[in-house]
Amino acid sequence: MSSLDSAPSAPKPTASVKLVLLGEAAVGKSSLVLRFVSNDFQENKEPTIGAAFLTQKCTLPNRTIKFEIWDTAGQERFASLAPMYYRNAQTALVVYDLTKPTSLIKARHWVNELHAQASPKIVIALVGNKLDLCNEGGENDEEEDRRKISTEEGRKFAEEEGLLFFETSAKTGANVRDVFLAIASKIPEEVVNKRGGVAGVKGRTGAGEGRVDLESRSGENNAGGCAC
Amino acid sequence: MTSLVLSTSTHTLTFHASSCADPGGTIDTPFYILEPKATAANVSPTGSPVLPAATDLTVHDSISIDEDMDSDRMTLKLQDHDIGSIPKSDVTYLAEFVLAWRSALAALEEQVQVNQISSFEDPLSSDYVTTRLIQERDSFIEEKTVQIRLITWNLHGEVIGEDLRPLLFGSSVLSDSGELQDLGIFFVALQEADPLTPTTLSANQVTIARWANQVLECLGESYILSASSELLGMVLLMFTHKKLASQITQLEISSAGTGVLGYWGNKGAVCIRFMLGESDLAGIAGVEIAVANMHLSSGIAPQAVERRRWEMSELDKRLKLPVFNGKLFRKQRNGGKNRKELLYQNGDLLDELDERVLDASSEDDMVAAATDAVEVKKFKENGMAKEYEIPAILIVDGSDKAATISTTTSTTATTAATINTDHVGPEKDINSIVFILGDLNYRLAMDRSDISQLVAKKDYDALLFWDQLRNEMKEESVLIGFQEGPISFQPTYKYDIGTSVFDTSEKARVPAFTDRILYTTYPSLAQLDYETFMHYISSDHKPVAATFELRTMLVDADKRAQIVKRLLHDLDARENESRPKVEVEKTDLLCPDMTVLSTVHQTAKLKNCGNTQVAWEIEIIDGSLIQVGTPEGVLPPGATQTVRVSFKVPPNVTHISEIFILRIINRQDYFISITGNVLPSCFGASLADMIRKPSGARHGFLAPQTGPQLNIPREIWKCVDFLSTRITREIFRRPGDETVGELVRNWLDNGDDFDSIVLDSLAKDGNKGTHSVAEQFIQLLELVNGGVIPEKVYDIITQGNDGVQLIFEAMPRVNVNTLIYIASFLREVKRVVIDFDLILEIFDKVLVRIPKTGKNKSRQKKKRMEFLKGFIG
Repeated sequence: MSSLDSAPSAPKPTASVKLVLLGEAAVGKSSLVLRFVSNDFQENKEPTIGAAFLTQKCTLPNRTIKFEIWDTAGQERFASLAPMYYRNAQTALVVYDLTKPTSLIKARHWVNELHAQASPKIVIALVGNKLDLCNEGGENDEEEDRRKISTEEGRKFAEEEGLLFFETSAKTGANVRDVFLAIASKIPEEVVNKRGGVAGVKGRTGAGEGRVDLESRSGENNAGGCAC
Repeated sequence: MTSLVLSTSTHTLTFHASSCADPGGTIDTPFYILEPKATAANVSPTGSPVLPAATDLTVHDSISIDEDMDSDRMTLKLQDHDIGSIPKSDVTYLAEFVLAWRSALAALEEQVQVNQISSFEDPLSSDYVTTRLIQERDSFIEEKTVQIRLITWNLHGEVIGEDLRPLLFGSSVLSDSGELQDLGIFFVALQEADPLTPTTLSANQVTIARWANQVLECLGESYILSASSELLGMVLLMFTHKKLASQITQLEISSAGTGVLGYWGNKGAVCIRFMLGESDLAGIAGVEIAVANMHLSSGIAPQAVERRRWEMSELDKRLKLPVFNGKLFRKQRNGGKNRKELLYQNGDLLDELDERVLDASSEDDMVAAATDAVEVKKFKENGMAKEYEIPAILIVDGSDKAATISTTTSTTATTAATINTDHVGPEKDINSIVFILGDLNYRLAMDRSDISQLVAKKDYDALLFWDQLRNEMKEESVLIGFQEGPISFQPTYKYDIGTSVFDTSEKARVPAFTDRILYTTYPSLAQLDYETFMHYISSDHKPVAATFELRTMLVDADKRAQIVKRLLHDLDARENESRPKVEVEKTDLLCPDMTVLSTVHQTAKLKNCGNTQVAWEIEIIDGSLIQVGTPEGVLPPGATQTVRVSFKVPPNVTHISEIFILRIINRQDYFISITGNVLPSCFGASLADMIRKPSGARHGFLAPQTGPQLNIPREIWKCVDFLSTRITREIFRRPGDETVGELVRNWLDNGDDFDSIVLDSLAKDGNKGTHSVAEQFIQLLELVNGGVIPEKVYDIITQGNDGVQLIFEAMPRVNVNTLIYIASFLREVKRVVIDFDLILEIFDKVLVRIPKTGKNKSRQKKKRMEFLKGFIG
């Protein structure tokens, strides 16, 4: 028998997913977020000193996912603060710069740390950014190919570690949306944090979703619960 | 800094008024913290008095000022409560104070509004999208024509190998160019889909699947099977175009058997009902549609008609049809007798029929049982005495549409598309359509030869005059409110299989319009055709089909998805734009040349550049040195906030690198780093290092070979030298002053001499100079790296009575010298201080390094004290 078509006109379930961006300084984490959220690009962006919070919804055929994005500072001196941001994340974007070999080494480090410290169910995407600086096969004679990390190298690493893999350009927008859509569709239903209760004042004045849970840093984990 | 607390019915407002005599010398904007009542503390952090049960506050409750002529301060009042006082001299500060207070009150009022808005701005708990969708519904709701094709066929248990396309598409389904339309629903109703035997207990899924696949093959990839409902030989399949599938909701199927013993499924009905086009989100109600495939008991006898009435009454009860404009049967008949009673009156016959049906091996035999010859004869004698006179009024030409023609016997087959709505007017509040199709088994109550003549003349109206169903409907016994399109085809039963010839068997069954399609009226429903197909010869029935068009409001799913996507995007933009906009003046705080043990104060400036108030807080990372005065607050639009942190520089570090998080709630975490070098210091250095830096810790090491080495560190000598001339009874028993202490530490580390004039000038202020030096001296000894009396001699001191000599031999020379020097100083102290044991305890603590493994602490302490006492003499 053919399958009976369920009624898809019913309201789609909406779920919020905490996403954290990690990677060496100046690989383009904030630019990827800006491209995804505002479809915009800024040259010579200031380095992120801290962690910026933004939200963006993504519509899939059967559900809507609200990304709660934490764009973290890439500078080495802030590395010790990263666990606060990835600890309760359901998904992480580990970004490197296709033109900078050290950034892939740093990406490997982040992937290892996520495997060791983050939720075991975390969905990780490896993203090689600055595809616009790669002039493959000299297509454009005037620009040199600044690529230092081959697609194969990135893909091989992603396959070994079970990561989603993309090469993007935040500048041109190439593949940026695909990364987030792929992540959204990879989020298992049960990991998704269905929001309950009424929005309003939590704790202090108007505080709520943007807060980072510091309590769970010191030992007792809230038994798999999500604090965002 | 003073703090004021105001309590309202919903919130607590803590107001921090910074004093104008700030250590930094600047005047800061006073700030406040607004907390919901549930979490608010009863007392302000600094312990300032809580305003007793302040009444509800509004923005109109502004501050008034009381000037006391005798005082240099003025008192601020709110609703006659004193809320604080400020110096009269500082008018600027007063202005700032009042301004900040007002903005606090405004924020208090705004807070309530913000909370209401926040639920609106959260799409996950609000109906923003829903509301907007309804506003924009006209752009995605369109009136569409849905085509509904219904087919009924009693298969006589035969496998159909014939091409189904002509049957499915008929005369009206395909467009002029031969295309299948987008918005179509097909219903295929089968009876006797499988050979029926008394051992058959359920519908044959293989047959059903074969039919579903056969039909889908004809309809193409754009159609799906939406539902199927089955009961033994009765099968009802629903096929829907994919574009329409999302418009079908609340699909339900039901079935009811009315056959043998009144319940068996050899007769009865199967039903599919659903909502078409219903959308709560778009605010359209949709149409409820029910399709029932019926297979009723056979037979021409009045008892068979009665039985079918009873079956209708059962189906009315058991089939769960929606509320519709009409009824399956009329309840009270025959002088108020219940139909069931009537049934039991004829119970003998029915029981006999049921028995024979159970024994029967084929439907043919069942039909034979029901149409017992005797009964038929009796029926003809009683009921058909008037013979077959056809009323003149019905003898009309095909082209003549006489207005007098009654709706139920409507004729003139050629204009089939007209709808009769005059019979039962639609009731406005009923929004449903019921289709009934199937082998209803009503017969033509006339002789076969007469039927043949009329069929030959194609005078179907004449035939229909004797149609039991038409007559039952005319009498309003069954299917009240139902319509049927004009019949322009010959009886569909019973044919010799493989031919289009009426039954030539011995039984010579009387032909009849057993296979019918009826419907309840609906304003925008029109029937396009009603037809049979004589070339299908696999069964003893011909299939019957009808096409309807229904105009209804439908949601264009693609368009709506686009709008939803846009709305969600708008919402994201709004959400992200409504996030606080702030500027942090500096995130890298540089502190050059910090000195050990001093307290470093740092500030970060936060400006609210947005137009909503900003909630901020400071998060201190575990293990950080940083202390924060006020960890959180609220900043009104345009205002600036100075965030203060402090930390005490620990000994033995050369560099400080600390990070704390300044969190703008819902927007951004700023990592504020504090870095800087720490100047070298004697505090925390070993005695050996001290003597190698005779000019003070900050002046670097003396090369080992140059110059004579000191016997004792100059820092210790300086302290003792200063203190030995200023011994009082209170020496080492009073706290020093922090600022003077820092001065003393700087002298020591810079190699400067103590400035006795400065220190002694503080003598009248509780001897602060001396006590500060004494305090730093103790601290210096306490922090000596390795201790003055090192760990390695501890056992000798506490265990044996081996004497001082052995202990000295085990200690570095500088330690011995230092100890002897301190002992001689303590001898002086002992002369002045009455309770010397207390002093001794202090020095025991700072001089002796105790191994961690030490046991029997009180005995050891006694031994240590004995040693020190003996040594001091």
